[in-house]
Amino acid sequence: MSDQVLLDIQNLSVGYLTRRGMAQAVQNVNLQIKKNEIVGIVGESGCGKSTLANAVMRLLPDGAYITEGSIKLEDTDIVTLSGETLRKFRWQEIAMVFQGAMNVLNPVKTVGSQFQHLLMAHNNAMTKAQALERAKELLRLVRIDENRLNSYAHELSGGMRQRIVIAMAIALNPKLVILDEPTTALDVIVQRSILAQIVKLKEEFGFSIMFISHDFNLVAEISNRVAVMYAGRMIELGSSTGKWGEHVHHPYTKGLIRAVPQLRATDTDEVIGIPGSLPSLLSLPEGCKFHPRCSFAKDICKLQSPPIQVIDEIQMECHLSPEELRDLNHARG
Amino acid sequence: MLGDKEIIKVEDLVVRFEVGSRGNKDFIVPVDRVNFTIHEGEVLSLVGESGSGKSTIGRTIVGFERAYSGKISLENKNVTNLRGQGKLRMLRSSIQMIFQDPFGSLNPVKTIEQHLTYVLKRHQKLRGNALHKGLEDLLTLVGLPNDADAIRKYPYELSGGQRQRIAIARALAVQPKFIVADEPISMLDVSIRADILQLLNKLKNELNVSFLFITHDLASARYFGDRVMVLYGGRVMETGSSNSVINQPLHPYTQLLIESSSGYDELKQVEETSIEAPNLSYRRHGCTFAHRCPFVMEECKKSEPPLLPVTEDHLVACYKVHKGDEA
Repeated sequence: MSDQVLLDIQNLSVGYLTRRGMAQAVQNVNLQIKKNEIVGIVGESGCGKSTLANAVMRLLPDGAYITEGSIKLEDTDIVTLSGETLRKFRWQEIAMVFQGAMNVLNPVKTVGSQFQHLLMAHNNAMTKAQALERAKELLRLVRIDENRLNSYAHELSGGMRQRIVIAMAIALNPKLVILDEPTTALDVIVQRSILAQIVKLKEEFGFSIMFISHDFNLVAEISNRVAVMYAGRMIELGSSTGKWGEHVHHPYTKGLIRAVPQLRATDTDEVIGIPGSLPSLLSLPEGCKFHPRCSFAKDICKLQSPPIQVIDEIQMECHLSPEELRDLNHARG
Repeated sequence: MLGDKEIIKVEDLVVRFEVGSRGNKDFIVPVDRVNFTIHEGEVLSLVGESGSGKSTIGRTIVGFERAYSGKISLENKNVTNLRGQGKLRMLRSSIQMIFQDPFGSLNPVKTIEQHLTYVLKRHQKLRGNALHKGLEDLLTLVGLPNDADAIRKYPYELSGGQRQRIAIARALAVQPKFIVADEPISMLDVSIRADILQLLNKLKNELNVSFLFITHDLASARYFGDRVMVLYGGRVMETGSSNSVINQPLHPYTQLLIESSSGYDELKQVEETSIEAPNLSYRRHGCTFAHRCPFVMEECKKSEPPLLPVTEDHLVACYKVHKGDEA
C-alpha cells in the first residue's frame, strides 16, 4: 500500500428526488482511498453505502443527483464525465462487482462470448481470438477451468458465477474495484475462499478495493480501513488493525458490534439490540442523525450536527468527549 | 427450563425429491436418515449451507413436505405425513413455523389485528372480551404497541423487525409446544436482529416452547441453541451441545465452516479441495463431504461413516475422528 491517493471523494452529497421531497441518501461524505488499499464501507440497509458506490461509478438511477461535492480518480473529475469518455472510463478505470452478481451474466450467451464482448468493446484493435486467449487467462486467475467459457450461466454454481464476474471486473486492469456485497448470497466457505482470492489478486495487480458490506466482522477482517455509514453520513472512519471490537468506536458502531452474537463469545456475553429503527431519509432528525436511538445522547446532540474528532486514529462524528467514548468500551448500555 | 419430556422425535427421516424430466427421472435425497429428539423448552439449531437439507427437515415436520421414510413423533404420537384438514389442524395447534421473509409471510391486505384475531378465534375459540385480552397479551408478549392505531396497521406500514414480531405473535397465538424457526433473523437489519433473538430466547425461557432453529450463522446457532446439529448434503456430520460443537469442532466440515465464518480470525485462505456442491443422488455412496475433505481416505469414498459418540453428548460421523480415537 502506498500513500498516494487514488480516489478522492470530497464533501459528496447525493439525493433522490421523490414526490415527498429530496431524500438525502449520502450527506457530506469525505473519503480517500489510497493505491492498493482496501477500504470497507459498512452500514445497514438504506445507510447510503450502495448509493455512494453508484455515485463513484456514475451509475446513479434517474432521479438521483449529486447535489454537492466532487469525486476524483487521480486527476479525472468523475462527476463531470459524460458520453463516450464516461463509457470508456467505466470498467477501464473503475470496475464494480454488484450485489447479486449471480444475475449479472447474460443467460442466453456463453461466458466466453461475454468476455469477448467486454474486451473488444474497450479495445478496437483486439481480435476475437485474442479476446478468447485473454478470457482464458482471466479464468485461470480465478481458478476456473477454461472449458467453462463454453458454458451458459445456468450451468454454473453460484460461486463459479461470482468468480467469473470478478474475472470480468479485473479484465481491463482497473485502478479501483468496487465490491458491493459481493458474497452475500453465497455460503460461508465459498465466500471466504472468494474473498481470499480477491485479496490475492489485489496484491498481484495493485488495484484498490472499495468493499461494501453489512457484515461488520467480515469487513474488519479484510479491509485496511473501515468506514461506518448511518443515514447517509459517514459517522466513523478508521484503521481496522487488531481486534476491531476493542477499539474506541462511535456509539452506533459499538451498538452494532454488540447486536450480533459472536462466534467466540462466552456464555455471559449478552446480545443487545439498538433501540428504535432506522430513520426515514425524508425526515432525518435534527442534530446528530443517530441521537434518537443513542443511549448516550445529550441535549447538544439533538440540536447540533456533531463535529469530527479523531481518537486513536479513528475519525468519528460524535459530541461525546474522548473519555466518554473510551468508557463505552466498558459500559453496557 | 429444560424438561425431560420429549416434544419432537425424528427417527431415520428420509425425504426424497423427484428431479429431471420425463424419461430421465432421478431422485435426490435432501434429507438422509436424520435422527434427533427435542425436549421441552429446548432449542436445537440446525446449521448448514444451502442445499444441506436444513429447511427441508423443518418443512417436513410441519407437514409441507412428505417424508419418504422414517418417523416424526410429537409427544410420542406419530405425526408423519398427516393428511386431511382435521388432522393437520391438530398438528398445527401444536407445531408452528416462523419463516425467513416477514415481507412474504404476512397477508398484505390484512391488518395486524386481523392476522392475530383470526388465529385466536379459530384455535383458542376466544370471543368478546377474552379475545381482546388474548390479543393484548399476545402483543405485549412480542413487544408491540397495543393501541387502537397500531393494531389497525397493514404489514406495509411496519418495519421488518415489527413484521417478524407479528409473524412470531401469530405462531404463538395457537399456544404451540414447538416452533420451527427457519432463518428468522437473516432478512432483518443487523441492529434489529438482536431484539428478535432476545424475544425468541424469552419465549423459550418463559413459555417453555421448544424450537428447531434453522440457520446458516454459527454464531446465532450457538447463542440461541442448546444443541447444534451440523448438516451436509442431507446427512448429519456432527451434533452435540452448542459449546462443544462450536468450541471443539471435530468433523473437518464443521472446522472448515467455523474457520470460514467471519469473526473467527484474520482472513486466511481456507484449504479447499473442490467447490462443487454435494452429490444428493440417492445412488451416492461414501461420506457426502468426501469430495471436499482435505483428510479424505479410501474408505470415506466407499462407505458412509456412522454417527458415533465421541463423548456422551457429542456425536460425529467421520472415519478420521474415530480412527484417531483408537490410535
